[in-house]
Amino acid sequence: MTTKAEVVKNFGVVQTEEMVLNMGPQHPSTHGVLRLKIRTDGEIVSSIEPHIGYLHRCFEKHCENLSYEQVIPFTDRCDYLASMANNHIYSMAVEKMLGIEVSEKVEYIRVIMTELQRIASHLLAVGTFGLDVGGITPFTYCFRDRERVLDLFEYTCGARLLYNYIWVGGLSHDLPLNFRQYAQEFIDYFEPKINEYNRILTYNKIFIERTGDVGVLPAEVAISYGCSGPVLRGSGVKWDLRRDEPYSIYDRFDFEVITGDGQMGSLGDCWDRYFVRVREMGESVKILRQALAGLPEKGDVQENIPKKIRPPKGEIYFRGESPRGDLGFYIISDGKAKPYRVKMRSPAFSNLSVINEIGAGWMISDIVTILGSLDIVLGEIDR
Amino acid sequence: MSGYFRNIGETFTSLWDGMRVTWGHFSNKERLNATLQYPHEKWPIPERHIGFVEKDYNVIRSRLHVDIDDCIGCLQCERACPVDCIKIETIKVPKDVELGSTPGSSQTSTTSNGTNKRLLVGRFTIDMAECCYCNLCVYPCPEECIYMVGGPNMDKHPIDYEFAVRDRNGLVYEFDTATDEEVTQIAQLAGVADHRAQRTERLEQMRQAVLAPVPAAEAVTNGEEPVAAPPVAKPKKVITEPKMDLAVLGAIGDRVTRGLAKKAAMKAVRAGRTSTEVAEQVKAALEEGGKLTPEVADIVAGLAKIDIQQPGGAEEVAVAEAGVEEVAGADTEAEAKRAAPEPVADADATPKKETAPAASGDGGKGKVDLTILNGIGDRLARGKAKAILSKVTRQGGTPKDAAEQIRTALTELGKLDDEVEAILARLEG
Repeated sequence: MTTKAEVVKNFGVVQTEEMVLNMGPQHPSTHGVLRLKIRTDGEIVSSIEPHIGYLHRCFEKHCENLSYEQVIPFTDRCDYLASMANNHIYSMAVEKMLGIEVSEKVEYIRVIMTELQRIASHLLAVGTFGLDVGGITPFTYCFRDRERVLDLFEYTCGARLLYNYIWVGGLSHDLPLNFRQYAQEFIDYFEPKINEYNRILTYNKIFIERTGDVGVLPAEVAISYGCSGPVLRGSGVKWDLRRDEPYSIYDRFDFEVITGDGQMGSLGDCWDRYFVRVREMGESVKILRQALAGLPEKGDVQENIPKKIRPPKGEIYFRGESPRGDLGFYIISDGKAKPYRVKMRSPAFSNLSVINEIGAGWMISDIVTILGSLDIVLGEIDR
Repeated sequence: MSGYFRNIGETFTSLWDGMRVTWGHFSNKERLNATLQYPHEKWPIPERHIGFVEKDYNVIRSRLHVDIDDCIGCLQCERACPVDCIKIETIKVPKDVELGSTPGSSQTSTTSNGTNKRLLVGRFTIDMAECCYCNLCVYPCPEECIYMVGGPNMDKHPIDYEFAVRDRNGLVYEFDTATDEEVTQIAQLAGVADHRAQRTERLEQMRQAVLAPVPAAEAVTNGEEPVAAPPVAKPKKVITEPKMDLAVLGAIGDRVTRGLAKKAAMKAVRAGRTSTEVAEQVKAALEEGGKLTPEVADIVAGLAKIDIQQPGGAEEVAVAEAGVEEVAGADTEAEAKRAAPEPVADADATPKKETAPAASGDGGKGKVDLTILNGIGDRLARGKAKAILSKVTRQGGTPKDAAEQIRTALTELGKLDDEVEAILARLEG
C-alpha cells in the first residue's frame, strides 16, 4: 500500500493542506457509534483521534444503585456480542468475594457457554471484517453459522443476545434435554466450515493485499498500550488468561494459544489479527469437545446460589479472557446489598487506544481495515 | 516481473477457489438456505418444558404476564426488577374484612395455592417498553403468578412475542382488576389514602398547571383560576387535605431555616393541628435544629394567625361545575389577557395594592404581589425589578425600600424611564 514515503518518492514533496475529517458516529465501518477525528494530508492520514461516549449508559454508576444480582443484566449490555463471557467473569468476581465454590457441573456449563459465545463473537468479527474490506459473501456465511450458536443459546435460556444466564453461585437454570447432542451436532457441522471461510476469505489474494502488512502493531507497542486478546496475540505475544491465569476449569483442557506469525507480511498486521480469530474458533471447538465429554450428567445448578448477596467489606479485581481480551471487574463492597463501586476494565477500550499508533501514515481506506481488525464493541468501550 | 505474474496467478486461483465455495452453496440452496421468509414462515419455538427437570422453569423471554387472581401483592417482583418497569400499589385489607366479599366484587379471597390474600392490588402495571427481559422478576414470586408467556406456561397463556403496537403507551400492560369503587371502599375501611384518587388529582393539577395562562398562575385566589380550568375537571372522589398558606414562612432569610420551618409546618398541618399548634411545633423543630433567632420567632408567631382551610368537598364541586359552564367565555378572556398584558396588570394591581400595605402592616413580611411589576415593558428591567422586590420582601423590607433599590438598580442599567417610574410610584403608594 502507498505510504507517505512512497508518495514523496514518486511525486516529490507536495505542499498540501491538512484536512480534518470526521468518520462517524454514523459510519458503517465504525462498528457502532464511534467518531474518528482524522487529520488527513491528501489521502494519507496523519493522526487519528477516537471520540467515544456516544453509547455511554453510566453502567458503573448505575451499578451502585443495583443489588449484585441485578447488575448481571447490565453486564450483558456492555459487550453485547459476548454477554456470556461478561456474565461469567462478573459472577466469578462476586463469587470470589463471597467465597463461594460452584459445583463441577456449573463450571462445565459455564465453560461451554463462554466458548460457544467466543465462536459467535469471532464469527461476527470475521464476517464484518470481510464486509469492511469489501467482501459481502463471507459475512452472510458467518452470520448463518452464528445464528446456529444463538439458536443453541435460545434453546438454553430463552434469549438470543442478552442472556442473564450465568448467575452468582450458579446458573439461572439447567441445560435443556438433548443439549449435549445439539451442541455436538453444531460442533461437527461447524468445524469444516472454518476451512470454508479460509477458502473464501482468508487466502483470497485481494483480501491479503488489503490486510497483509497493513497497520502493523509491534509487540512492545501492543503491550505498552495494554492491548489484549487477539490484538495482542496477533503481534506474536503468547498471552491468554485461560492458560496463564487459569480460572474456572480452563486448566483441565488441552488447547493451544494462537499467535500471529507474519505469514502474509510482517508480524502483527491486520491479517494476523484476523487469522488469530479464525484459528481461535478452532481452539474453542477443541475445548467444547472436551467439555461436552466431561460434562457431568447429574447435579443441581442452583444449590450454591446465595439467598442474599452481601459480600464482606473489601475489594476485588478479577479478570478473565473474553473474546475481545482481558476483561476485568473491580468491585468494592462496603458490606451492604449494593456494590459501593464497580469498575469494568474493558479490553476493547485499550485495544482502540492503539489506533493512532498503528493507523497514522496509512490511507483512509486502510483505517477502515485497521479499525475492523481491532474488533471493537462500542457498548463495552463507553459502558 | 515474475512477482507480477505470480500475483495475477494467485489472484485467479484464490478467486476461483472462493467462487467454488459460492457455487457449492448456490447449487445446494435448498438445503443450506438460511433466510426465513418471516411473516409467511416462522421459526419454530422450542418446546422447552419437555426437557427440564424442573418443569416450571420459565425459560422463554417473551411477554410478561400476571395471573392477577393469584397475586398477593408481596412486591417481590417489583423489588427484583433492575429497570423498575413493574409498578404495584396495594392497600392493606382490614382484618375483619374478607377480600371479594362485597357484592359484585371481582376479587378472590385466596390464590389458587390457597394463600389468603391480605392486600388489595389496586395497581399492577408492567411497561414492556422498559422491560429488559432479564427474567429476574419471575424467580422470587411465591405464588408463581408472574411469568413470561409461552414455553412451559403455554397452557396458562399462549406465546405472544409479536406484540408490536403503534403507540408507546400501548406497551403498558395493566393487570389489576380492582374497580375504582373497590379501591375507594377498601381504602376507607383501612383508613388510608386512596392512591387512585390521589393520582387522578395529581394528574388534574398537572393538566391545569399546563393549561393555565401564565399571568394568572399567581392570582389563584381571585377566582379566575377555576374558570380557566378545562372541561375535563372530574370533581368526584377528590379527597383534599387541609391546607394552610405557608407563604409567611417565605420571609425567613436563611434557606436551611426556611426549609426546616416549612417541613415542620406541613407535617403539622397534615396531621390536622390548629394553627396555634402548628406554630408551636415549628418553633420546637427550629429550636431543636438550633436555628431559632428572635427574628425567626417573630415570623413563626405570625403562623398562628392564619386559618387552616379545611377540605370542603361540596363547594369545590360547585366551583368546578360552574367553571365547566363558563369555559367558553373564559377562553376569550384569557385570549384578551394574553393580547394586552398591561391593562390586565393594572386591573390586577388595583385590588392587590390594598393587600400589599396590609401585609406590610403585619411587620412587612407578608406576600407582596409581584404582578404589579408586570407593567414594565422591558424584560430585563422587569426581571431585575421582580428579583429585588422578592428579595427585599423576604428580608422584611417595605415596598418603599424595594422601590428605592429597584430605582438604583435600573438607573445603573439605564432602564429607568417615566413608565417604570409611574409603576414604582404605585408600588410605594
